[in-house]
Amino acid sequence: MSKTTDTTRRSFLKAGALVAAPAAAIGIPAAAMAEDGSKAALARLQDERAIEALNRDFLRAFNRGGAKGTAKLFADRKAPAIAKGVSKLSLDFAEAPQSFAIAEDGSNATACFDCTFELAEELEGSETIVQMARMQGNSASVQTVRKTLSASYAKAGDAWEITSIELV
Amino acid sequence: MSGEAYPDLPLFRIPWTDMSEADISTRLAQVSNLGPQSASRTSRSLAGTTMQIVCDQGTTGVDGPSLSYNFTTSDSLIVTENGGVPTQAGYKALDMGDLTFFAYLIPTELRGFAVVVDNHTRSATVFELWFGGYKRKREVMREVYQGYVAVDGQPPSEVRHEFNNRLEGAGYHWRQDNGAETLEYYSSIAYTHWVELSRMSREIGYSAPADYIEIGHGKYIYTRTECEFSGIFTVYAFDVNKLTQVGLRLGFNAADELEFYVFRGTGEWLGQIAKFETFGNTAGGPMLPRPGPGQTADVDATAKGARAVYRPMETYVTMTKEEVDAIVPENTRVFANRVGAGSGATGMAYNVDTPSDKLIGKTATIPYDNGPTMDYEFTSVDELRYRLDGGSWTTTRYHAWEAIEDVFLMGHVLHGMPNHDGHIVVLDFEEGKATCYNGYLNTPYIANEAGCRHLFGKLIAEGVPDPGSKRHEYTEDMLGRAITYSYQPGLTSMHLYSTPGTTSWIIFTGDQQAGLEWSGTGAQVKIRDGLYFLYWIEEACNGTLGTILLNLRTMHDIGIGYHCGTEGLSMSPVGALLRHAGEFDVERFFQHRTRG
Repeated sequence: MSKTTDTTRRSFLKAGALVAAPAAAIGIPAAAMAEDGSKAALARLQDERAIEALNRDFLRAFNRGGAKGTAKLFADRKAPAIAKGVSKLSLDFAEAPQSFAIAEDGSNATACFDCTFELAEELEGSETIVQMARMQGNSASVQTVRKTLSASYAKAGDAWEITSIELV
Repeated sequence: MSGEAYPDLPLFRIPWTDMSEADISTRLAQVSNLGPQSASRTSRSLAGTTMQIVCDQGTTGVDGPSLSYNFTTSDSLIVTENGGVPTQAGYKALDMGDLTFFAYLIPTELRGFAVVVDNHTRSATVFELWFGGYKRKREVMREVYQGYVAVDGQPPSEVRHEFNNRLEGAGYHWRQDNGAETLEYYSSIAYTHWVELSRMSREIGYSAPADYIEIGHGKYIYTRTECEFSGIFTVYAFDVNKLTQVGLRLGFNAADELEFYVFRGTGEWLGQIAKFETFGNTAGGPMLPRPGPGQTADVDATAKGARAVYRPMETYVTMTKEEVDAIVPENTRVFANRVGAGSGATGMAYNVDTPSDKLIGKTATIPYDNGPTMDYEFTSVDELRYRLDGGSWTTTRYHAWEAIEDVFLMGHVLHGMPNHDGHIVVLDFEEGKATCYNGYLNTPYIANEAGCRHLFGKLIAEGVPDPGSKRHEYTEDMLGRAITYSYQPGLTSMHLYSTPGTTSWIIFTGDQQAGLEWSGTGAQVKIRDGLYFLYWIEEACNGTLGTILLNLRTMHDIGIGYHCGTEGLSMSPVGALLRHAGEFDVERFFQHRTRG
């Protein structure tokens, strides 16, 4: 298992991104800094930006087409198992992530974010109009839920992919 | 299919062919260099000009094209798409005030474009069209791009045409220059309901996905794709004040003949029904496929051209007569207790009142003028004895609800009948009348799709007056009206009675926008002023016979559904809280019937 380095949470968001952090705020290994600090910091920034973009793509795809629409973002090309009825998933942009760490060798990463989503109660019944209502996203009731979105990522070539996402 | 372009069949009964890519390609090749036909003189305004249109992302997020045009003549253009290879195509253009509409097909491709340009604001809406279908290639797909006309030396126009709900609830009568006449109800933000007045029987209205786009200054764009039917695509720009339109029709009719023409038209405003969104909310379509809870359909909301399309035959499990006859006798549930999935009384029964016990101890005889004579003994709140035409007595389960004093809606099945009949009856003890919607199965097209006979008779019982020859009568009182039915939180449907025999239903979204829509045929009978007995059949949909006894004084209804599926035959109650959404002025289009 790779060693990981944590980012500081507050600085992370001040960079104006979900998981992007200023290089100085990232625990870049001393050896790497000594060898070529700016190059390693730049690589780390690029990774964070890429993961940030990946997260945004995930949110956009999920909120548009449900879990199925996110499969292409995953390393195994399988949609994540997110509970039925979850919609309008969003990460809390006002707060820093609970945790974020990129492996020292830059091959994988993990992160936990505060998130909110709507949890819908399924409409009862099998009549035609119930089917139509479900198809356009109607539900019997909707409640807003706050949970933690726990994600892991892996680098495949130059690109990052999601390896797992769950709401805990 | 060879034969009539518009046969005397409902659209949902026509055996539409799949049409292969080669079939379509062959037909398009014959016309793509000529451009669309037109009954009117087309515009020469573009001849000798060039134009570049820069498009934003489409409705699904796909990148929009950059289209460079050289209109070499009034009917031939050269188009370069995203800087690619220039292509020559035939086109036709029509002007309407500040708007120019033009359309063309790209030779050797199953693809074309329809473009609306506002020359005043240099804004444009571009429809990319292709024969791609959901499953059948004949269905025209579309992606919609907003954009602007680039002019050298001038900054890009920031004006964009906009999807919104401004047309939601409007209705128009349109007459095209080629003689085609339609009633068009803009009954949803994403669907439309239309009645063919000239090409087909005006008795039936149909529903299809639509786009509604505001250009500004009273001008709009409308599209309709006849999904589940021919797949024909219609688009037009129109001026709601001048009541003029210019547009395109593209697709294959029932004879598999290509219809590819531009048209002008004139219209008539038929009215405006209510919107139910929060005041000030103008959000519109298109509705993208959105898998809600319990929805398992295979949808990809990010695919080019994707949008929410209700395709009822995709979820309808059809059965043969043998399958129906095998399952019904042992699997018939009449007003079953709500004990879980499949009970047949769930989503639409939340607002159903307790069945009436006022019939207990009564006896009645109903000699239907055009049907059997039924004798009844009501032995409890949910059990009666009946005999048909003086035969042996049968005990069965029923429920009845009192809609107004001494007028009941009652339902039960008839055991041992070859077509598994059910009687849904208005028992009018005040006037001595009875009207029955007699549901039955083993119908010609789909065995588990219900059929319905309308039976009128007198109700003979102690203390009930003899109506003589008077009966409840068919009515057009509901024609053009729209009523909302709220069944449970998250489930409100609006009925639009678009023709004397059509009920269309529109499902509201969580934001109270009118959304997906479908329709069926049926009849309407007047019981009293403000009390109507209606039915519709969900043909080529799920086969249900839906009935309601609608009280416009209490704005409440009671209804009974009669349905056969793989789980058997069921009779289930439905009930809703109602609102009157308004009315369209359409009676004159059906006077041949209403006067009769």
